[in-house]
Amino acid sequence: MRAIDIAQKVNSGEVSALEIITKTLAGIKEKNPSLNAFLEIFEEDAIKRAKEIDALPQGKKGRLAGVPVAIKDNILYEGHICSCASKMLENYKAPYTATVVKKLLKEGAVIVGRTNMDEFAMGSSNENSAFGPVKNPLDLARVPGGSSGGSAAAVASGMVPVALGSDTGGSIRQPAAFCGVVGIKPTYGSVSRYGLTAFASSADQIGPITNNIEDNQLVLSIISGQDKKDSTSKPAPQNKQEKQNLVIGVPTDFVINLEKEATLAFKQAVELLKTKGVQIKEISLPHAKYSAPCYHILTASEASSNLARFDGLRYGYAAQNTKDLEDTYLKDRTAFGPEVKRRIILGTFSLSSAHAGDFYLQAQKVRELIKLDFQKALKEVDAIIMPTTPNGAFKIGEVEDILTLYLADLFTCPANMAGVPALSVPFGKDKNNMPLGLQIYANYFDENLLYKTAALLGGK
Amino acid sequence: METNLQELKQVAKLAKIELSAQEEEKLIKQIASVVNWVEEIQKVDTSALTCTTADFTPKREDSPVQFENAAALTGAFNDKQDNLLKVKKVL
Repeated sequence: MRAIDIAQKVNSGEVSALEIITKTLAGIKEKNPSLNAFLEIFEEDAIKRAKEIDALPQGKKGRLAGVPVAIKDNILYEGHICSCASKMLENYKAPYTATVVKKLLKEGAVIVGRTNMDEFAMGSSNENSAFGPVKNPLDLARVPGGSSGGSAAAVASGMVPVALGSDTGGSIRQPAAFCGVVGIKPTYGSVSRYGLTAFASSADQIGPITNNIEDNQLVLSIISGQDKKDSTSKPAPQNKQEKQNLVIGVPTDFVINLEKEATLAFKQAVELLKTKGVQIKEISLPHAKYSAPCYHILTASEASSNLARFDGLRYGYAAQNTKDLEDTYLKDRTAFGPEVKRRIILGTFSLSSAHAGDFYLQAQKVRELIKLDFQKALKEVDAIIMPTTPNGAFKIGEVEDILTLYLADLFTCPANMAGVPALSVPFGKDKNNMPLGLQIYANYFDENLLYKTAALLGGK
Repeated sequence: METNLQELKQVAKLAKIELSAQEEEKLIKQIASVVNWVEEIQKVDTSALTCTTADFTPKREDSPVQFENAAALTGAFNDKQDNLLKVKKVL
């Protein structure tokens, strides 16, 4: 059932929140052992909360009354463990609640559990979790994508209608594409990150993963908005005119080297849009191809700084029998997994005085050029389309080369580098009959246009 | 640039990342391959770029704010004495 329908039925009294939540929890218990999408179910808390919602007067239970929502394990919910799928934070209890979670709760949502992810949101296959990989619900031998793989799998398997993810280089959209669901990376600054464990602060954004466009739009409208606790957050500009006679750009110089089926699906999407009266225009994004290397330099640099806080002193993993403070730091930080260590070392290298000019600072400049490419293109067209990924979900353990894994974010990184919003909707199948995603980019705070375009593509 | 493996090992130490011999062998080579890949951005001509600070993160007012759940923060300390964080000797 759609989240919108659940909320409507709970508000009208047709069904109780407790019935919805009881059924959801039973479904999770049945399906999760084979998927590993949830790291923890907040059973007692969810039942208590459902009863509270049922006690509220009819019609006043909120826009998400009784809707079960899963949160990625890097989003804080007071009193609950938030581990970032890392041994470092295995037992860390959140001392406060993230702004996005507060907003969902205010609208009657019920947080049913926390979902598995790549450790500290670093990865694109969910194989980097310290607590085992998530399986793709459509083929258990395949990855669900990452880093919000648990959230995408939880929605795709029908365990929950809504899950929150976070997206630093494609971590919502790529798993959404691999699992055949809808995921959005909102405009940078549109959703508060207060209570999101920072990975790369200049790129991190929280967004919803859902089974359909309407639910996605509703949840995003609820979690968006300026928050004084996140100084990068901004209010959306008012009175945006709804655009008629859409012009959509196809970046022909960027969308290359796709798998045959992905090329076919992309061409079909373009043709379908034409039949809906959309004008298609070829555009150029000459620097977009540098987004993935830029992303890796900048986010690793920011991660090396953000993750310096994990020293095992104030919280987190504490090694026993260490000699002195230096030894404590070194031993405590062995709790990080290999991908986290790789990125911290790469980031420290990129920021080191010998290399900062050629790496960190050059990447900042190239990022600016990527941003300018999008700003220029979005003056000529209303939106831009491209595939979400060059191929569908691969098998668990199949891709060992880290550069190949890093390139899974080739088409998603540009949105984080430019700060613009991008939405992935299911469109087409790969050679293994796994879903592919089509991605729509639009101008800053033009999320409604993304949903409108997705609807033209026949998104549910 | 041929990435210097010895330099990366030194960087790991600076980042307080201790690697086992086995990890060091694998991870450092992988990082070197990533460094060689991301170097491609160095060929981009950025000379015409005029950077502004307009989009930089706005700074919030530097004033103290009361956190309502301070007990949860001190409660998470791995070692403490009274209400203070206790750490190992520095030297």
